Amino acid sequence: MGSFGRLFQGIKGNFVWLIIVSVGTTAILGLIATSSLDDLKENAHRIQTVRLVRLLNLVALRKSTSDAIRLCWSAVAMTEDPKIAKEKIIAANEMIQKSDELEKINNENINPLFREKFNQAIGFWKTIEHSAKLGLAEVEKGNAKEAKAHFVVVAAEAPKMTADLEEILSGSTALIQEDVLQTDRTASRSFTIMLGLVIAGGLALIVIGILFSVRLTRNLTRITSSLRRNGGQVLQASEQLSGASQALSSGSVESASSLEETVSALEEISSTVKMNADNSREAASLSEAASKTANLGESEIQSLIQSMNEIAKGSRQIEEIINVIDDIAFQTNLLALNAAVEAARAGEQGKGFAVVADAVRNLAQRSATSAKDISNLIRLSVEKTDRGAKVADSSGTVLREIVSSVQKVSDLINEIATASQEQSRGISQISKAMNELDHTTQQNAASAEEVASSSEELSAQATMMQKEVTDMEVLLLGQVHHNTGHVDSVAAASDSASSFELKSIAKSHSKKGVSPKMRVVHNSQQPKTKSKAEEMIPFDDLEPAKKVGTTDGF
Amino acid sequence: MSLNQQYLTFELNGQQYGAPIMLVREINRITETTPIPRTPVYVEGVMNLRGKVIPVINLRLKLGMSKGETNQHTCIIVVETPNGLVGAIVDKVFSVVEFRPEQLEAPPNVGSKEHLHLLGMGKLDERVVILLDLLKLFETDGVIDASALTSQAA
Repeated sequence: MGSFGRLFQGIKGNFVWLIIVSVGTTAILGLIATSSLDDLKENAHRIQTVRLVRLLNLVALRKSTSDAIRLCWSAVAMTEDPKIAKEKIIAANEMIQKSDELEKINNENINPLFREKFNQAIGFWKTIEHSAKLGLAEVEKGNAKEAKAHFVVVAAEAPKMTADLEEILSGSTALIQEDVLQTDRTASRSFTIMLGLVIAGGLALIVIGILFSVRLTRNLTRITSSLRRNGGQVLQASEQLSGASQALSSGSVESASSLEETVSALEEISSTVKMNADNSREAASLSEAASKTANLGESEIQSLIQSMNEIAKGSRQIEEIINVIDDIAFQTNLLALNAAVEAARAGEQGKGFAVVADAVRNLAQRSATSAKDISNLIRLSVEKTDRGAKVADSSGTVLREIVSSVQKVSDLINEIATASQEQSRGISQISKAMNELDHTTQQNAASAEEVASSSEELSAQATMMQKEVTDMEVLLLGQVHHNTGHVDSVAAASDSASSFELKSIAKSHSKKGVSPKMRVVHNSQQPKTKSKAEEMIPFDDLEPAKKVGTTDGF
Repeated sequence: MSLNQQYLTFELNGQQYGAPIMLVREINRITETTPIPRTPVYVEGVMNLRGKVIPVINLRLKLGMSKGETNQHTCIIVVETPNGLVGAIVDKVFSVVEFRPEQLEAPPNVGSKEHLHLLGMGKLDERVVILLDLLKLFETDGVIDASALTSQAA
């Protein structure tokens, strides 16, 4: 259905319609001719089968009746010779019989117009027949007289019948003549109708063809003008595309160089990160060494604390010894006191002893004082030792803290080292990606250059297309007839056509005024066309109608 | 009772006291004492002095002072009484001091029965030494019957 519908679309459809109209006209003509021929054939047939047959039958009837009458008369004449008379009688009877048959045939086929006349004739015939048969019977008996009497009746009736038949015959002939005339008329009418139809169909075809060609031309003109407009836009767009792609190309090149710089910077960063990693590894080993040293210091502190404790223990032992000494001194003192008591109780005899006891007591007290001093000193020393032990203890704690801190620092530095390594790996990946990016950018630049060249080619082809459109317009309209403002793009296309086209632009500007779009196009075109103000502004006195070579060719 | 010129000085509750040297048999370190039931508070108990059991009196408690702490200076002065030897616990023993007559003074007149415990005051380097009459101190109390104690012990 769709394909069938498509058949009636476009130029092909127009042609199809044209063909259908012509074929239809021809068919109508053929139908009319056929019907006319049919009429003619029918007339001829009627003349042949009806009118002529009737006429012939009537003629035969007339002949047979007259023959019968004649034979009757012959039989009467030959009464003397019964043999001949007999033959005549038989022949006459045969004729009568034949006439009867013909009468029947004619009675069936008689034209209704002559029915009355024919019946009248038949009535005469019946009388004749009857009289003839009676006469013939008399003849057979040999009674010529009676036979003649009967035949007189026949003779009286026969002219009437013959006159009637003649009348019918002349009427039939007239009918045939009339039919022939009618056939002539029909033929001439058909010819007239066909001629008229041929003329009308030709005129209709001419009108349709003109309409069709006008419509086709209008459509094609519209299409070419829109083609021209679109071609101009395509040209403009392709030029913009060319510029944009050139900019893109240069931008790509710039970005490629930036990328190279970035890559080199990344390499520097990578080396720095590697140095960082190395340094952090070194720092980690250093901090491990520091940790070991701190551990060593801690153990030293521990041995110091132990030594301190031993000193304290020794001091306590000394103290105990001192206590013993003190005790001894105390006891000595007591002994001295007891001695003094004894000496005092002894009175005068004990005086010397008392002196000794006093001396002993003094010694004892001095040793006690010394013991006390030593004890104090030892106590002080123990205190100091204790304090030193405490300091050593806190030093140990501090050292342990230092150890743990150093350990933490070491861990952190290790983490920094691993992080630096990861960084380095990441940077190498970035570098790889950058290289790929660089590659891609260079490809982009190449593609952009290709696009630029392609768009230039496109613009050239668009120019070519504009020229083709001009050619097509010339082909369509027979001459270049610009009534639109879009021809300016063609100005760049052909140098030979430029002056004319600029002129036409100028004219169209002077008529319509310069539209903004056109002005933009002009501005973009100006460097190429090198159009000056004189070319843009209409100066009607300058070269009023200079035809262009391109249009002259057509 | 005449004043003997030689005295054994000792300390009670930070104050120097003196006792006539002739009453003192000996001075001993503090030793363990065996408490005796149903005796006054100031009687610490009895001690074994070289095979001889003697009563021991805490002089601080006897003189109405608080019970002091026992330390390495605490001594027991063995006093000869007519009833026998009696131990007296003192804080500290200083020395045998010989007072000149000008250094001695009669006991102050405070008007109390207990003055009988005092022999007088000895002046020593701006300090005052209270000279106790130990015999009287132990007699007037009437508590101590050393012989009875000893006989009981025997």
